[in-house]
Amino acid sequence: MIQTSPGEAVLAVSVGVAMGTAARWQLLRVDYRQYPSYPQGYVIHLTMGFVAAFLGALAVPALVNEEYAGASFLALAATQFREVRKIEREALMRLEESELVGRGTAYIEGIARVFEARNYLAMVTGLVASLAVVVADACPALLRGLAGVGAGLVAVAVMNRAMVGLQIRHIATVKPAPIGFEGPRLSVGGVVLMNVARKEAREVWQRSGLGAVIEPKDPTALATLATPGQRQAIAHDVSTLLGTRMDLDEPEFTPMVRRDTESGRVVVAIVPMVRNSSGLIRAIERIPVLEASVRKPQEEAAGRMAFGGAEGAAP
Amino acid sequence: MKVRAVERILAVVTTDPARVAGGGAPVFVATDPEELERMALLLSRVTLGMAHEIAPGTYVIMKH
Repeated sequence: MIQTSPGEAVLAVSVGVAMGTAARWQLLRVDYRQYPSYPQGYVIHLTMGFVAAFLGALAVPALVNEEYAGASFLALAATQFREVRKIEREALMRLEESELVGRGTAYIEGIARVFEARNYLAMVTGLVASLAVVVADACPALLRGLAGVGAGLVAVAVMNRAMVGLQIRHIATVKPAPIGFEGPRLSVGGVVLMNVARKEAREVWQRSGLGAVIEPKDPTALATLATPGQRQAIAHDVSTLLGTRMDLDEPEFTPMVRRDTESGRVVVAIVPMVRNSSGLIRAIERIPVLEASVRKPQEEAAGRMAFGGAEGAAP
Repeated sequence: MKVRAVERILAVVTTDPARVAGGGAPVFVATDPEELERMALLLSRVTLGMAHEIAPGTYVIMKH
């Protein structure tokens, strides 16, 4: 059994905490979702990341010194971070009312899970870094510290790579399509999206509206794009990225995402603040595929029979 | 939690009152197509609803 002196334990824990907190900080990216983007948000998440890293870093020295109570704190962490998910979910749910185009519950659930997972990432990084320091106990202190930093960096790199999700462009092709009207019925690529009664509103759609068709590449993608949660996420992200002409009292210009029930194609119609078709295509292509919307019909015999193997075409 | 009416017809605007009967929503009769458009606009703005064309000359204002 390796025994660590108090000094060695302090080194292991502090390297672990530093690496774990750094891992959480590195994941606090500010992108178009703009969340969190204010110092209050950073402080909350960095502090939680610090706590996570501390719990992780403490585990190995505690175990080595036969302080099993200390090691069991890891179990406490799981409860703690499930709470993080709950808080994120509740906060975003409350914000739904103040959004012009809501994120939808599936998107919110996805975001909340990511926040929870990032805390575990900070915890595991802290654990790996402190483990490396303890294991390298034959080396001088400086070298042990470096071993911890190195192990932490490797852990972050591996987990970052593993946590990358799919985007729409991986499961479907996105093409621009014109907006047309048959009487009051607004359509994109032959798919009717809504009934616009007022002539003035129709003129705005024809003058400033943009349309796109999302064609699923396989039955899996077809099933994913069919979920209302995924489509709401598309509507939300597109109106975040391009802006939207809609207002509270102008629901005529609500961005719409509807499905061709014959082919499974999904069409998008929006009146953006700036009319740029390639911008719309790029925006849609980079929208995340929601975990809650992933369907895999071909994992089961019935699905394979219906869709005819992995390469089977849509009906 | 705020409770509000969704997927509901709030009002009917028409130039042809003979084609609208009974029901829970108030019916507004316009004298010509221009007035129909104008009334549909005003009603949809104040109710935060949306105007849909059900038949030529008859619009419903709906809350979604």
